[in-house]
Amino acid sequence: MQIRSRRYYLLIAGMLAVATLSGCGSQLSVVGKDAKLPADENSAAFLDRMSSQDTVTQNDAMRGILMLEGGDKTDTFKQRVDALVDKKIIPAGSYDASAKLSRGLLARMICCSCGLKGGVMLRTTGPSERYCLRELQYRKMMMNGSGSTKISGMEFASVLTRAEIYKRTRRFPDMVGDTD
Amino acid sequence: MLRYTIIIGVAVALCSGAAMAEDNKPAVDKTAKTTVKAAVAKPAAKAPAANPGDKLQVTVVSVSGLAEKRSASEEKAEWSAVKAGDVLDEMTLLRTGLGGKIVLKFADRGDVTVKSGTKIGIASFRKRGKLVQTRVGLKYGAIRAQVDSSRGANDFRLRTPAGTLAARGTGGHFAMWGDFLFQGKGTGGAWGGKISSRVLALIAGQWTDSELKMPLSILLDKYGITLGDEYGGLTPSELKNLLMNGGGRGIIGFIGNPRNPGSPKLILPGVVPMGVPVGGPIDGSDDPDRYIDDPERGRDRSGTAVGGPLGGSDDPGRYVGDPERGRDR
Repeated sequence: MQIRSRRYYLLIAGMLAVATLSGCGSQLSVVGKDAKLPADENSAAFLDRMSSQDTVTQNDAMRGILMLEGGDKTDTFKQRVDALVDKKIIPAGSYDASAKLSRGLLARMICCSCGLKGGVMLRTTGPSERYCLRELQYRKMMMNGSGSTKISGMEFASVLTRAEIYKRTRRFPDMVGDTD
Repeated sequence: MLRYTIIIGVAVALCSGAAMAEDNKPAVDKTAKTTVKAAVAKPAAKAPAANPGDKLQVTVVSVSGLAEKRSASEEKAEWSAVKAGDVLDEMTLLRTGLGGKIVLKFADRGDVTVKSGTKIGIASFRKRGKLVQTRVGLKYGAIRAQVDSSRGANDFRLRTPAGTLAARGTGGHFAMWGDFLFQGKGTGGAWGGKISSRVLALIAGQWTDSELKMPLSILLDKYGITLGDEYGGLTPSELKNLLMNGGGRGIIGFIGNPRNPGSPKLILPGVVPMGVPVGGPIDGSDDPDRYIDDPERGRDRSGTAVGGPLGGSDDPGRYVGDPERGRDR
């Protein structure tokens, strides 16, 4: 019995070691590292370009979030991902420059950029796509809907504008962008 | 007999001539006397090409943050920074960046504040006689418009991808979002909204959206008491699944199956049938007459204002804060 218990302990320790060595924890993986966007694009031009797009790529989205953070001084997608990981706005994970942005990922980035604490679940579990989206929906900063849905350019521009108003005033804007 | 026939014939001809002349009058004269609702329903007649009116100028009062302008009439025109004191002509596009703001003065007929993250276009700003005609397009973002009619009649129209708004001496905040689409809030006077064939008059303190929802419905959506989140912990797909398969499937059957008349019905928030009375006395009475007939409480879901607080106050806080008048989704 004692031998069996010892074997069990060894087995569990071995599994933990294998899991750790095999990268059970998240690793940063970036596809399209050198993908670029129009140079010298200010936020007005960026929003204008976004408003005419059917979908938003992760590359575009990260430029938008960096603009929310004060400006995009990066050149490539890899630099944008690194900058956002450093700011703890996105976790180290898999990102693709040409992948379409989901509402969940946008909600997570907005929540982290605006420093929204959220309700019980968001505070308990930390920023996750699901609860960040629910928080933003509750605050009327995002439209109701599933987190896996791909977001349109107009919707992205609208959410970004509302997030900027919140960051500037620390108050949630109403439906016409006021905080009175 | 012949004399009577001639007199009647002349009288009929005169009457029909007068009626035709009335019909041929410009719609502008008509709308000046009618309500905002009618003004939107009957657009002002186009002026003859020979007299398009005198051009007026829009002046930039102040600029903060990032703001740019471009002429829409020149194909290869570049975006350039907007400065206070700039004079803008018709067919000028304006856009603001994150945190940007522009205040525009439309001669002596009002001002427009272009808020952060917005793109608008000045399509037309002309004076015809005493009437000043203004056409502004809003692609995305939000603006605040204050129209001043103390110096003459105005025909101010704001066109968005979702619909058109018209004003006659009033103020309001309007937004066009990619997700919530058109949103409007009246702050003074009256606005008329038109989307497709639907028309709505909006007065100070009232809201509407891209469906031109009745202001009361917007109020209910905004202040309605919601326990937990709007979906009750379920995603839209989960809700749909329950709607389709609920009833007779174990624990999730409590919601009921709309296909099964015998099962209890699920009424989703936001899709409560129009006309269903909500809220009401705290004692749980469900007598609809108590909601409709009592002027202290009366409002129903159809948006019909049936009474309200005595004195005509329209303070939403008075409805929401009073537990006697509490309402649910």
